[in-house]
Amino acid sequence: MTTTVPRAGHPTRRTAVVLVVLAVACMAAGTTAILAGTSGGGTPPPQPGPAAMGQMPDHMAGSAMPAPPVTSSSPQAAPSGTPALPASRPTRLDIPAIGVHTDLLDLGLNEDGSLEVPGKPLQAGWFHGSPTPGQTGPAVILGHVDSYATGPAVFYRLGAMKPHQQIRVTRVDRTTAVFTVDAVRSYPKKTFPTLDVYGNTPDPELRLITCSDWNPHTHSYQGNTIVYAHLTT
Amino acid sequence: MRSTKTRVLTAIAVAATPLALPAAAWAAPASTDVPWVTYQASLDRITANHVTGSGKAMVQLSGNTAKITVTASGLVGGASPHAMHIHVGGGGVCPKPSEAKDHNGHASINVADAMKDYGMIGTSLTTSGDSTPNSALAVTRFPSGSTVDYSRTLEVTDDVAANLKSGKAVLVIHGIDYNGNGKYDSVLGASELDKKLPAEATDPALCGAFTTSQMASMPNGAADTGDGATQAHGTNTGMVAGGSAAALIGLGAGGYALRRRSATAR
Repeated sequence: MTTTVPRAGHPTRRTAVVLVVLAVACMAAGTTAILAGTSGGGTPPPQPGPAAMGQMPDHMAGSAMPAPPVTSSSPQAAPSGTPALPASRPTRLDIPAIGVHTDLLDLGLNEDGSLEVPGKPLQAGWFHGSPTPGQTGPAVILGHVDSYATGPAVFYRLGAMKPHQQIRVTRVDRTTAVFTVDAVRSYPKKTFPTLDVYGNTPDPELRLITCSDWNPHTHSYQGNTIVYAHLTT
Repeated sequence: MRSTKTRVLTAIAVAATPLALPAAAWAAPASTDVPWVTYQASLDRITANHVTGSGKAMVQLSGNTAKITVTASGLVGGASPHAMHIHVGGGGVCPKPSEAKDHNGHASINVADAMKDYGMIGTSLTTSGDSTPNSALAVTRFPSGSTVDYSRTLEVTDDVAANLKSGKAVLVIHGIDYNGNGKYDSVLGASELDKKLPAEATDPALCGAFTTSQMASMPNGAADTGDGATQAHGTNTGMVAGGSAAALIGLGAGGYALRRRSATAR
């Protein structure tokens, strides 16, 4: 949630009002009910397993995080070098494999330079400081894994994605950029590999981001799950 | 003496605060009127110098203020210092293997050999104090060991800023182990920069030209995209179809989690 909540120390009636507004907003988001059919609200979200992680694109051979041992013997197809699309703001995201169908919010940066996260837990958002999906470079789309208001949120099942699955991004110019998953990775937030995730790419690529690695002691997610994909049509 | 209501509100505010304060991987650049532009470099090994490592570098520049991060691995280990510089005024490229010359009977590339490729030192990436070319070989103020995890905000000269913008800035990490014995020695003779140092200590190891980031603005590390609503309680609430029902259950879970948080709040 990006809504500013007053810090502790000077509790006021406004604090309570803000929280109520938050709750109402979240309930409104909940009525879109895109999560109908997903598994229970008390179940931790799926995490990417070694067999599902895939291989990073070739241009990232020097990545800080080495790929895990690959159990499959079939070599990964190299990014195809599909021609880039002109810039056009993305409006919609469809990931059939994990049942995600959402309009996209427009996201910026918080004052501390971190990514603004969607104000609506059931919608993902495109970071407008990244290339538009289909342009050359790493387009960034992020969504919540869960929220108090909705239980599971839009990217609850992101960690279950596997290489070769498709991601479709519809754009304002009515073109649809179709991406194919290369790899799924989880990183501790403390050692987030900024240039692996946000670094330049030779072709159009996509990064889907959500939270992972729940710490029951600190009651916070300590990692991020990233889906790496490249444009195929 | 605080009322019960005040304490409750405080607990709620404390519980909610982490939602509004995403964790930062490093200190964010202070906001200024000049927008931050990001440059990045993939650091490749100078193969002629028998280097096996790799790395990445990023400069976020606003005016003359540069927030610099460098990560690298596979360098000469132990206490071996690794001088690091932003080079400017050359061709904006790294030396090719074919540029190796004979040094003490061994084909290798020293700093001078590659000068036309990456130019002169513009900024010394020291860990503290002076960062001008005067500190080019301040070996006690550079990272040491096989891995580098460097982060520092420095003021760079107009020339360095201009070279970053024009694609002529190159990051070079020095210090190689040509003969693979785990330390700097004189196998390649003395350094052409300082006769008291072995050439292995100053020869280029990793090199990468800075290019402008494809990101119009570079996020500060990770994203806070979850608050643990599906983690903070053990019961399966049986999410059902129907948004209102889902929302109500979610509110219940949220309330529970808030109470849990307040119980363990800092």
